[in-house]
Amino acid sequence: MSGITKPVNLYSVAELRNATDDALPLALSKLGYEQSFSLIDTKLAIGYVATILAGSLYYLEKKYNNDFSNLTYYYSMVALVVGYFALNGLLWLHGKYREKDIKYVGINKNNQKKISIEARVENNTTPIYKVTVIENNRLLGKQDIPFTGIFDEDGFIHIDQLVEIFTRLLQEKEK
Amino acid sequence: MNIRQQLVQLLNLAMVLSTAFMFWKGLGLVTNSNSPIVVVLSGSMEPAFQRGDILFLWNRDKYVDIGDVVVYEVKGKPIPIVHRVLREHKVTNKDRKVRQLLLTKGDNNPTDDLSLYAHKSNYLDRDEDVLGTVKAYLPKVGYVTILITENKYAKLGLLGLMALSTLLTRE
Repeated sequence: MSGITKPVNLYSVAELRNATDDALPLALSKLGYEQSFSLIDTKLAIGYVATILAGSLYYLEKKYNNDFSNLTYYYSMVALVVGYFALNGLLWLHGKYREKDIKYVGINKNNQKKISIEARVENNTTPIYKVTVIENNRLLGKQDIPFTGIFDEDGFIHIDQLVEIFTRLLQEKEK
Repeated sequence: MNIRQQLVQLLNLAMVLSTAFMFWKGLGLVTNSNSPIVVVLSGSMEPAFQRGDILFLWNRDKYVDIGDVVVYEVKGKPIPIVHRVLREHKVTNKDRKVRQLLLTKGDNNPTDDLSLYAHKSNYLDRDEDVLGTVKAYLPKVGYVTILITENKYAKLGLLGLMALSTLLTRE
């Protein structure tokens, strides 16, 4: 639960954003949402499989003494290198088209509706947290949250304020 | 901090290392050389190459030419040597396979490389011994690796810095 017990540097937009990203699961659990980890788990799975490929090539290199004239070694090297970069490409596509700016995915315990929260900052000098909430692939609402509204002067994040903002954002659709 | 966040950080570190390694291997496959980039360690090719120059090798030519600078490795001696091809012979084997045999010499050395070759061998074999022909070079940049290989504190320091920076940044 870093970012909640630890103050952040208020002059660093990156730190503010990270702390807010980290606080999202807690804020939404207070609103009755359970976090779904499928996006990050996919990313971890692809990434670690790729790392294992690289690791096994390292092992083969030692085992065969990096001898290119050994065809077993040569063709496993081709396969592992191609596989590694294919998985990296997949990881890139996953990050660009599925994960995008999504910082939180959760399922409402009452009505089983799935929400995704995309959040980003424009650049490192604009301390505004741009939030988009999507419910079951339908745009629910957008809001620009200035970091001054959720952090106090000492750099502590205030979960209650974040909860309040999301309560409003999530209620808008019910009208 | 939750377990997934830590796994992501660890993955980032692993990705930096593994991508560097796989690029190296990929470059090896493209150039068909098991050591496609080497650093000059001795002054035997001065003034063409100085200690610390980085050489880029290419090993897809069937034969090397006289005058080419090649990198070769003698069996049993693990250090690659960068020298110029002085003479060549093409020998046809019984199985009609043509072997190219080479004699090399360092530009800055008084004699040719006969004394450097493997025991009782008076030539290099193009296919078996040569790692590649030098196609491009970057002067002096490789001095960092000489520093790292010859000074263990420099090596540890650099590794430590790399590990720290990947673990601490989250951008």
